[in-house]
Amino acid sequence: MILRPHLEDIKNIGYYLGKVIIGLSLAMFLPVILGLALKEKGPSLDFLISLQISVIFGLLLTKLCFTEKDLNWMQGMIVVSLAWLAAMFLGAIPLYLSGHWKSYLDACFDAMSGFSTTGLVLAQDLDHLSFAHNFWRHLIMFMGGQGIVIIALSFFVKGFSGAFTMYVGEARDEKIMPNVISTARFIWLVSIVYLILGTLALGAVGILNGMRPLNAFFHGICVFMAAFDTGGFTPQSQNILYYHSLAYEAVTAVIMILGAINFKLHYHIWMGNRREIIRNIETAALFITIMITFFITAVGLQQLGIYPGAMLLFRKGFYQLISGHTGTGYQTLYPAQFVTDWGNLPMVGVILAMALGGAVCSTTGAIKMLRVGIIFKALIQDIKRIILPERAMVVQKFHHIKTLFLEDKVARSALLITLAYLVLYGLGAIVGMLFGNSFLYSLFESTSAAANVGLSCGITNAAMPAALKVTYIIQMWAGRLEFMSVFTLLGFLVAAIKGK
Amino acid sequence: MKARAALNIILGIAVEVLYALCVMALAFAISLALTAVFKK
Repeated sequence: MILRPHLEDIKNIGYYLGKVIIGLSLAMFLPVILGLALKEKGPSLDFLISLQISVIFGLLLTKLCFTEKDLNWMQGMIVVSLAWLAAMFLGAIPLYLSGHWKSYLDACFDAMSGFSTTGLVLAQDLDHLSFAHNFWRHLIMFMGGQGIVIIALSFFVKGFSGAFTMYVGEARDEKIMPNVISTARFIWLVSIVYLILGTLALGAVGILNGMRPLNAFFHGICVFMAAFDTGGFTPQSQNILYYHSLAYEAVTAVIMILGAINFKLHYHIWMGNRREIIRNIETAALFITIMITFFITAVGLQQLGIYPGAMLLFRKGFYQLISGHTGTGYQTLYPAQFVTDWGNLPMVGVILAMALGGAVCSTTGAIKMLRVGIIFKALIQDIKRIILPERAMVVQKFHHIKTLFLEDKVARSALLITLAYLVLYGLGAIVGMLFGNSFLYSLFESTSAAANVGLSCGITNAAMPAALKVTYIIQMWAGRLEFMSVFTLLGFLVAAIKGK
Repeated sequence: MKARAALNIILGIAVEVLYALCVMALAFAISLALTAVFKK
């Protein structure tokens, strides 16, 4: 029998959702300040209007649903899934007010693409977007990478015991420090340290390439935020191709790889356990899968003979590949070139890379390296069970910060999430085909959306059908949250309708 | 203690960047090898 949710459940969810919304709304002060500093009055007003709407909405929820009770698991998960939807709807308001998005749905698409660190874009005339709006696009990517609920918790809301459920709900099941708030703050420490270093490096490269210092550092901070958080937005419509610079590509490639590393691994390496980078199952799996998928891509490109020199092959082939594998979505190709120049095998290589993703507890999406490693180890374990005598005790270990025994429930969980991702990739591809796109291109775009990558072969554009836009929004949302909180929300809705 | 912690962070960053560079170096080696093979 399904039990109908109590009013108390709804009040608890509403109260904490309101708190998260207020916390997120305050982030809109940053583009307001930037806009005023750069004398962009209109854009600043857009953000002030959006800020007011968001704060009023958040305050209403906290007043109407006031409670002093902590969240339970179900409520925490639902708060997370609703908070991401609320962030999309509210974060899209200033984008829509700018006039650079054809409809509010398009603005919502880009807001979800930003928060989920995907990087697919529907903006019009991006090259003439204000600094404040451009900064907001990249800031939401940075916040989404850290986990928007966790940001609200760690900076704007006092700690409470339900914090861990929300942390898990945002697909971060690894606790780095004893409590969630200090874990969130360590994640911020890593991000801020790399933000400073990355912005300086990209700013310096920009100046050497002839950009004005203000522009170079503005581009530097925006590109860093989207690269480290494996997002993929850039201030210009031509993406990384705009810079025409090997140095810019090299620095962003390094940042993308750093962004694909587990924050728990960052912690242990920064605490002095440097050997972990070689021993860890995730970094080993990432290294191997990058090489395998790049080999497939490079062989395909060589068969076509479009990049005759090794350097050109590396710059074009590896850059798109690593961008896809880390879930960033930076491109040094026009989207149509995937179709016209690359052909089937290179696209299959990139699809595989996108589907696999980076490390767990990083800012990447997709299946992720820990699960790939665990499934591979489980496969070896099963082969051993077949080969060895029946009485033999088969024990499989893997190293992730410490040496762990592979338990069946761990392998089962990894397989289930992997299966859910594969189904999501497939369903999106079917919807793409329903609108007349070919299987390979539909699968490419669907995998890119669901794995929060952002590479596009041209299907994603403002003229695509609204149903396809909504499909990709759902894929980005479910893919970023790794399903559990989304399934909990669906279960809650079913219980509200059918429960007794 | 603080100097030690700062040194650990700097070395940690260096190790992570080195990992990224190794990935890129091996990928470039694959590019070189494949270019040589397909030229023949």
